[in-house]
Amino acid sequence: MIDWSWINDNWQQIVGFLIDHVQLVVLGLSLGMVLASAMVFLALWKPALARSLIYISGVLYTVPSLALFILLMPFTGLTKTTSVIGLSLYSLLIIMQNVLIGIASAPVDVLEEARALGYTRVQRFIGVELPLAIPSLLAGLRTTAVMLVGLVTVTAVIGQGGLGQLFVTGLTLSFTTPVVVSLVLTVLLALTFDFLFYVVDKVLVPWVR
Amino acid sequence: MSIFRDVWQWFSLPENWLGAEGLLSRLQEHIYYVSLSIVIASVIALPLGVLLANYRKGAQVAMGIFNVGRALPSLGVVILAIMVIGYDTVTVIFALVAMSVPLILTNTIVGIQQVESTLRSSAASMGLRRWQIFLQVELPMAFPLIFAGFRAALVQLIATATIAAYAGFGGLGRFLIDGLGRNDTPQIISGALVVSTLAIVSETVCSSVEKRIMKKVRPGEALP
Repeated sequence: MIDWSWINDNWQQIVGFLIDHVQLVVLGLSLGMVLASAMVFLALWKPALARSLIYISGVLYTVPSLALFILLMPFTGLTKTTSVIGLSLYSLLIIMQNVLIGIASAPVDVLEEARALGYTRVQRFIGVELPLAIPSLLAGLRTTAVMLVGLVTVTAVIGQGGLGQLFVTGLTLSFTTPVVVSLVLTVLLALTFDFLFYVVDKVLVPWVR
Repeated sequence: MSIFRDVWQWFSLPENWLGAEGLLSRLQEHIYYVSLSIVIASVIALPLGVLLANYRKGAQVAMGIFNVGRALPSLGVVILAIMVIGYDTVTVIFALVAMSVPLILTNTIVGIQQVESTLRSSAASMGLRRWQIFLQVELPMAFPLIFAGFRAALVQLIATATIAAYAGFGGLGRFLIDGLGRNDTPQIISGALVVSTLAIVSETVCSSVEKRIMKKVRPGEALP
């Protein structure tokens, strides 16, 4: 099932795809975080908007991945931009929900204490509510990163795809090795992202057990 | 924009709707793949989840399966399945089932394990048998999570069935893949719109079904 000599001959290309893959995940996640933060601020500023913002990101999350990438194509073409925008739209729901839940679940007594200490509304938000929402944000980023690692491969259909390119190679050559290599590497990459966020979480918020 | 007009035109042509390669038969194929797979996946994952939930290390097993399962790229699973099993409807069903079992399985295990043990012991002290506790306490309490897994699996199946078209299978994904090959933008966009609508409609139906079942199995509870 595995042809080791193929791996030996093509390892440079495989590493190239891997780097591409990581790049797409990181870009998609970063853009997703920026957009989600904007939506969170909007939701906090006008709480009436929160429901519809979550609804919109929920609809985007429900749209099948291939269809979403394809619906973006008339605007951005067969480019990396299409993949990154699509990936970031998928990240919105989980990140936004997690941050909002994190902020909403700040203990009332802590908020009262901050007020008693003379914090203004803005100071309390930056100094108390945001740090308390970090664990929840990180949990959201962790889930999203793992999901994006899988989703990136779908963009192989529109000529991007990082390791997903190897699926295309395998299918056209009717050759299992690239497919297996890509499956193994994507799962390992996903687990690496998962572990990375676990470590960041332990370092940034050691008080949460 | 002319693209909107082109898409509108695509939808207004009857030959795009009828016939063996029309929207209606592709939609039927898509629904067939998805519904058969979700039934098979549930038949496998639900009883297995109930069994594993009673096993102490169940939660760890569940998380392991979930993490790897979630990371498996559907395109790769479909393509590998074709190479190993061969090109057949069974293959696509197999790949779809393999993709959705982890979601339903983990949610079932976690759902049952997070039922508070005080509830179980009070039910036991009221004289309920083990199977009665399972049916009357554990299942209703675990229902939201189990159903959430089912819902997530359904949405994922609709997406994966679309991707399966890339490997040559039928279903709505054909419009996207064939359209890409022929550079037929109106057809691509129309196909994408139909499959997105299908996903959103099934989400909406699921959410109303969930509310109905919740009212039945956990009456008197305020819904979120």
